[in-house]
Amino acid sequence: MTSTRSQALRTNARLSGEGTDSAEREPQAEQRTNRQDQSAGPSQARWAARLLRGPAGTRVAGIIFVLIVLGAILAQWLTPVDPLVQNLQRPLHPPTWSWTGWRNPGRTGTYLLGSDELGRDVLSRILWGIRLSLAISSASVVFAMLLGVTLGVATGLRRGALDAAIMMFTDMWLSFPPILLAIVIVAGLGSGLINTVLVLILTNWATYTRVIRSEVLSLREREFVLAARALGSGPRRIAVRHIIPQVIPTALTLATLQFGIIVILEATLSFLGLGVPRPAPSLGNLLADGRQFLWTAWWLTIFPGLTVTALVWSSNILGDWVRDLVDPRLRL
Amino acid sequence: MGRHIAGRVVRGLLIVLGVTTIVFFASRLTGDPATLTLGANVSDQQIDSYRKLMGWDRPLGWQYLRYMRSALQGDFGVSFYYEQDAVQLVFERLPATLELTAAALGFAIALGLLAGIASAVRRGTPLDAVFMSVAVMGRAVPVFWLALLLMYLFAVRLHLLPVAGREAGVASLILPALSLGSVQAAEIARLTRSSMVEIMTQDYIRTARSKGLPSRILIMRHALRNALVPVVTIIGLQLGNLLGGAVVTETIFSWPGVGQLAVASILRRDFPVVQVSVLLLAVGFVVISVVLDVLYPILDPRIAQTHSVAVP
Repeated sequence: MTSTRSQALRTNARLSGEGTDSAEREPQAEQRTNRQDQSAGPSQARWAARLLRGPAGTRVAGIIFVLIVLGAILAQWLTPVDPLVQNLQRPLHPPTWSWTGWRNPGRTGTYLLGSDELGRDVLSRILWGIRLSLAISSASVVFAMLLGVTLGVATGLRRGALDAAIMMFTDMWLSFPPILLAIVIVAGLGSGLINTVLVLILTNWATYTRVIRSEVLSLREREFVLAARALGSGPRRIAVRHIIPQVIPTALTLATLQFGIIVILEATLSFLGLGVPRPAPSLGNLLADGRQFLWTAWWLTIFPGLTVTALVWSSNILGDWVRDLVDPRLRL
Repeated sequence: MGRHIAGRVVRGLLIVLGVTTIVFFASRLTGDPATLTLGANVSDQQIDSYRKLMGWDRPLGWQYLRYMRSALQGDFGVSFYYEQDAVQLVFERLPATLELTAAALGFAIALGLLAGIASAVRRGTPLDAVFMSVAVMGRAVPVFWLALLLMYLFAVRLHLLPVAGREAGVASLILPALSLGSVQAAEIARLTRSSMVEIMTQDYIRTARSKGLPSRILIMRHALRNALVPVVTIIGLQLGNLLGGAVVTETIFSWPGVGQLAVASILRRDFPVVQVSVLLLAVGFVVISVVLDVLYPILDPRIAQTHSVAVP
């Protein structure tokens, strides 16, 4: 008990080297070890309680994340105008509340964050951009997770030559930096909406395979697997009924941690012109468009960038929180 | 130990081979290279004869073997766009990329270590809180947005530094290096801090302190050296991201490096140049990771011992 606890504490301190003091986290770690000792799944009420009791940063991040997601879902009701509608009489209109914008007001409710070179409303474009970026990132994360977990479970259970080959391939894949990998794949596939999702899946699956396989390797030696085998379960039944339910928490945790990386990657690809084709308002595209007007229209660069940063920051913090909640000793 | 390094080199070669293969097959997947090169304004007959001329009508396996053979000889063909030897074209860009990544890395290490050590030593103070909040934000800020912000502030608003290009010497290097290095600096600072904090609680540090060692020597000679091992690992991992980030930074600042050429060539479908530049980035990455593997045992002799036990 003591050794597990101190170990958990130490890992926790190392993992949380991000402004939170390890002393501050001590009671939480104790709770977690207790939970593991009881080895009972936490009820929903306890999950909710933990969300509220967590450090303030997590709460702020949660609120920001929910606001951003709501903005994306409600985009068509929240946005004053269509993000693609042009108003050539008001190109590069400053935000209405800024000094220059205030003296030269547009129609009420429009141009809260200014307009771009074709008079399109920046706020509307950002909201629709979040929607597009979130859709692409979520789809990529889900499919990468499915692919990676399937491979991880299959290779972990099967072992043998195929396992060795797949793992060597996975290690090679992982040793390559994501942006470079994405650019290599785009170089081949070409850009486009579907291709962007494909690229993001292909750059990301290996992380899941690596982590899940190592978990399966330890799970397959446990008694409940032995018992299932003794009762005559075939490998498929063991995988589906016994192994996969056990690795789902890890896979989901990994997915939340990977989400921010995927969002940045998607924005970067679109920014370079290698992602979502225009005129679709993805966040990366907005920044790429705004770059040409950096001299005259700062709002085209500041607001989309702030949005990306807020989205990635909040999902990173939430990812850390989910990891601590699921298993503080997880080294992800 | 020697066997360990040899294994790493072999793995590195496999990565390079893999990347070469992926780029080849992927570039054939997107469409007919003859049509892509010649454009829309040519007759089918012309396309057919060009395809025959380039050997693109042969089976894919044959094309792959031919491509690998000429790749081994360092011949990747001629750029469709510049009509120059692709290899030469890419290598002309290499010094600029090396200059940028070296400057960014130097900046990242200097700032990251300083901030990390300062936060660890002054743990719990406002200084620590500020540094670490900035470091956590550094994980969320996209490199290209940071680059745009710096460009806006220092070049557009303050007119202190050139906006883009490489003509102005050191002055034009500052902004790209700052934006490329900042994210890595944040990562290095975070890890240095947590690693230092852990080391500072060890018994030998308490012993050193109790025998009256001045804290500067204690920190620099006793704590830092041990704390640096994971930091070197992360710097190694970050180097790959640095190369990736260089692609983005170069494109934004019109820095005439390999990365900018790679992106521009992808957009122009200039496959010979894409192949060489992507391959060069991959080779650079592999060389870095092998060198780092050799470096670890020098920093931490314990690593060398475990290897000699594991690989008899």
